[in-house]
Amino acid sequence: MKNAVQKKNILSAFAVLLSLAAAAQPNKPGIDEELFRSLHGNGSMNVVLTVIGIILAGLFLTLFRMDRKLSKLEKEIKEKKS
Amino acid sequence: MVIVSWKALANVFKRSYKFFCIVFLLIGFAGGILVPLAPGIISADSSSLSTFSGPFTVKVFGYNTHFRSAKSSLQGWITNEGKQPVNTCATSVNVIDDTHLELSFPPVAPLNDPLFGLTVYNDADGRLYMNSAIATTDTVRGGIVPACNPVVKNEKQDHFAFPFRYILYESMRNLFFHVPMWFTMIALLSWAVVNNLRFLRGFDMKYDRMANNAITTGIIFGLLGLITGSLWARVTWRAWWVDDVKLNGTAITMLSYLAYLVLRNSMEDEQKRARISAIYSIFAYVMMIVLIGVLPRLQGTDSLHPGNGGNPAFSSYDLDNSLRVFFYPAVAGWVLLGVWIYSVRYRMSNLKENLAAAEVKSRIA
Repeated sequence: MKNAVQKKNILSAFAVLLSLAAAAQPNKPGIDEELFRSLHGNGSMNVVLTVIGIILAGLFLTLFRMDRKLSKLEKEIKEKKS
Repeated sequence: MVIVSWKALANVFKRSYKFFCIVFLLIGFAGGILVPLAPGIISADSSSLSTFSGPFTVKVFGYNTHFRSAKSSLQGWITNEGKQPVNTCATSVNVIDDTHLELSFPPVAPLNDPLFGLTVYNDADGRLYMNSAIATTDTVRGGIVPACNPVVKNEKQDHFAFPFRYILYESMRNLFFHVPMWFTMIALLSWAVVNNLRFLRGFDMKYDRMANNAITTGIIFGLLGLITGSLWARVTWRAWWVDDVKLNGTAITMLSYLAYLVLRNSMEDEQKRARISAIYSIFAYVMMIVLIGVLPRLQGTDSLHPGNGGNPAFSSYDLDNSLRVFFYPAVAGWVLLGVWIYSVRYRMSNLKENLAAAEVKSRIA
């Protein structure tokens, strides 16, 4: 019970802090520079590079699995011939 | 009159597609990574909440701009938006570096609207405009507005560049990598359905192998599209997954195709397996078309994807001509890569089939 009350107090204090922070912001739309740097460092170019990396990794994984399957097949054909 | 048979056309395709695949992919990669983004204004910080109580300065943060190198032609002005826009020029311009700038303005009374648009102009970057850049808390309307008429020489910067868009910024380049994944998936799944129908016509197991390999390759591309899309959403929409019709539709599609794999592996008898998976695949395909092709485009749905829920996609706004130059080759390249992977898998399955057939023959003999 006491714990829950404490939790509520902390939450409301946090809400007050948040609203204060919001009020302290100069009221202007758009993203300011720090926000831009923290969210879009490098203008979001790193996301593009990660996306390319994921695609290449996925395709190489596919290639690798196909290669393994093919080796198995080759072995079977070899056994058949001998 | 020239008669071209399908077989001859297919032969030409078979002989040339790998070459085109490589060329188109190279074009897509080179353009997608190397072409710069057009200059733009990322943020404008006003020193005061009021534009009327006294002179104020605005700190401008630009992207890919040339504030310092094109200093001589630099001008800045704010425009009171509304029915009759009025420009107020900066009295002094303090250039910090190529991307940072401080503009000083005289007191301005907001005529129509509490919002001001900001324009920074120089000959190298052209006209850079930021909508609703400065907001004022002033309630005074009318009064002294120092108006001016700035002269602009170049509307736009003159080198080839991708458009500058807020929040997207460089991540716009994912257009050449994330979007073609879906084009490839849909192409392969369509090919699968064609072969499912061909299979159901004469129960030739060859078509079953074609369809099955097209589906497995399509699933690979679908999963890659899902993962890369999730990453892109994290940066632009602030969440790994958002409640969007298109996202949920693709999730259901992927699950239904994964269920296809489970269904197929659960059956021993080859003919039965082929027939049931052919019919299941046709249903799954129709579901996919409805879920990702029709439902998100309906009026009244809400989607963050361009081209859905009332958003335009292939319009001049979303897909700029500079993007198209590389987008279409990139799509063709990725689709052909999908076809390439599919064809290798199909030929491998043929080999396996021949081996199994030889085994049956030797057992009988």
